[in-house]
Amino acid sequence: MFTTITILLINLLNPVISGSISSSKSDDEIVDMYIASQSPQLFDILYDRYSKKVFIKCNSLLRDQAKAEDAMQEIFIKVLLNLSKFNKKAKFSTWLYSITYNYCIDNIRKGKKMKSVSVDDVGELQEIPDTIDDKRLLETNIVRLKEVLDVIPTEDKAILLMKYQDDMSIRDIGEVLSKSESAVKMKIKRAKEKFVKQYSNIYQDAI
Amino acid sequence: MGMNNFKELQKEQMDKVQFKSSRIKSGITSSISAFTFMGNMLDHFIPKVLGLFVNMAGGDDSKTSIRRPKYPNTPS
Repeated sequence: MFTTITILLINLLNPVISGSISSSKSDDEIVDMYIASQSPQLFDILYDRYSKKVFIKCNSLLRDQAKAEDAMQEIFIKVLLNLSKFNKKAKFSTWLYSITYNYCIDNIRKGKKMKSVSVDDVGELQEIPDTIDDKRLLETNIVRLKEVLDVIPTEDKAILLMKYQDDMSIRDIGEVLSKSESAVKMKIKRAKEKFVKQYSNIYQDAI
Repeated sequence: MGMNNFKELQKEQMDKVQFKSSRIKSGITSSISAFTFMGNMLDHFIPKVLGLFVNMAGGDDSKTSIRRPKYPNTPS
């Protein structure tokens, strides 16, 4: 009852109250209200909250402003069309970023038309200890961090961003990459190794 | 919570980023409107088209379609 009244009020006073909802409601509440009312103003709130972050990710992975803008439009359309399937097991932001990374990685793979050998295909995965401390990576100077991220392979960059920028769980990363959890751990380890190697190549210095 | 320069980098990029936000937003809105319109059209016409096929095949569409009274609050 309360939700219905809220939705009716939102539809009537959309422009006036969208600003206040923007700060007071959680993503999940806005998603619920959007599903019930299909109000464009509620979509605007989600768009305003996440468009910059999604654009930065697209631009950083696709390395082309125009492609990133097109990708962002496609991603938000995909999000809106699938919003009713969002099951709230993860945060809305995690779900949105999963779609973003998935879209960008697919786009890059299609562009390259390269057959990559999956770590799953190599054979039984062994648990290899991760020797690179996360702290070293997280404390890398920002300018250097950006520079190194720009030269490592895009999929490795995406993995590092998912793990360290968006705090996505191994399971969520696995869903984006369609890989098992052990394969994801292996990929993270390899991405970190490539990062450290590139860092040393560029700066002639240990991270 | 320790230092995380991945997040700091994101913050820095967010301050500098420039893109055609309103153009993208209107593109999304118009695409969704088009999808909604198509969906509504299909919802409206598919039962009628199916009924037409049933009629053409010699069937009786009265069993498949819902008979509604001509006026509200009157028995069908």
